[in-house]
Amino acid sequence: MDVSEVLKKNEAKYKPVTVEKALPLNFDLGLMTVYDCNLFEKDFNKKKVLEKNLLKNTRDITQLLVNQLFGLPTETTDEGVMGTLPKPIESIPREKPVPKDKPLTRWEKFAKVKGIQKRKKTRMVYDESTGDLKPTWGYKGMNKKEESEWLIPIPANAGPDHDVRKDMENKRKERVEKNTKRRTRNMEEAAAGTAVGKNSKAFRKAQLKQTIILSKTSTASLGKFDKKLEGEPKIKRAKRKTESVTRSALEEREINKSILKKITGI
Amino acid sequence: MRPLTEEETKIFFTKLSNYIGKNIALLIDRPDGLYCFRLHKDRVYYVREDIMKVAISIGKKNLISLGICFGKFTKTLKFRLHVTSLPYLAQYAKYKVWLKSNGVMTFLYGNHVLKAHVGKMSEDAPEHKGIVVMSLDDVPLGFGATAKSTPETRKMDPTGIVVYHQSDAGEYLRDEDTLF
Repeated sequence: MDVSEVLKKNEAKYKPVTVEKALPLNFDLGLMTVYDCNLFEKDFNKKKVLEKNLLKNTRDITQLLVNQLFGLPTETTDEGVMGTLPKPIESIPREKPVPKDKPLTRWEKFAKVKGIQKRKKTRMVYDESTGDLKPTWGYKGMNKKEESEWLIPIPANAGPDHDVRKDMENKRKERVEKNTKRRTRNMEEAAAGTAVGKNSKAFRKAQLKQTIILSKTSTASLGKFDKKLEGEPKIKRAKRKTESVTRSALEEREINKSILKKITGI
Repeated sequence: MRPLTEEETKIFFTKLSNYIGKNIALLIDRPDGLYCFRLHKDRVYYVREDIMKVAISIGKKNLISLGICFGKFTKTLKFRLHVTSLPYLAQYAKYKVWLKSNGVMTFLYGNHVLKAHVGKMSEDAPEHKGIVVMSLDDVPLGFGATAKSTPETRKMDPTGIVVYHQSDAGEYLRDEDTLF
């Protein structure tokens, strides 16, 4: 028996591996995609013929894609031989929109206008009078230097029980307090900025209202027996929606049928 | 009076399918006219559409009943079938049990069905399934739930309970005041 005859017979069973195309195809192996730019001049009017031709063409180009894929460099792993795909050529559009920039805080806006740049400050500062390093603030900090001097001149208009040291300390604490307040305000404004279409005051008001409503309904009786404040806003709850009484039986039949389908599976 | 919500319809149909299975479709889709289910004072009524439309004009307080009452929703949103639904249950029931003449009266007084009273029974009835009780001359008497599957009831002694009583035609007299 001739071997070539057997081979030929076997070959006839399968479709050819090589496909002829007038124009070369565009492969994007990274995405395992192929684009066929060849003209498709077939009979478009006969649907069956068209379907058949489309199917044939699809098979052919898929064959070409598979041929290309098998030509890729391979790697032997525990799970078997794996091909390594190159980087995709076509870029797929991102799913989510590009995130918006965070709105600037009040300080950041101010710094931008003034051209102030952030720079690192060390905690320890050089004290010229004593010639050693001291912390900027905190225990024995430089901000307390003035009030801890051994001699402080009293202003001329000061009363008899005026404590200069205490006065300076209070002023320092006030400065800290003022800064903390501004910081919290800036943070609130930044939070309001991220909530679309609200200025900070309205945002805070709405937030406060929400908190009141929540705390009112956080008792065992959902706030039913709580004392009402004067001018307290009435809490509106969503009303239950029911179908119209005059809903036609025809419409209802279809709805009932679909519900029945879910229950019994017919 | 209002149509049932989707949740209520689901509960109602699941209960009903216990007795008549997929035959609910025959209740919904009838060749002799359009029928619908309406909820009035927690009770579910099976009404022809034109009667339902007439009933719309009657106030909630004044409307006592319409169509055929199938049963009622409890306050915990469970559904209880009433004996008034018996004609439809008997017509479409999947499983039935026929009582001998000596068992008819005891059942109609609200007792469970004993093995000794059973004349015949559907062959394939499973355990704890809705079943319609009939007399031997095919008059529906009421309905209940099977205590055992049919093959298991064969092994039972004559005093054993075959069907747990749920509702019977005697309620028309006993619960006359509250039934409708």
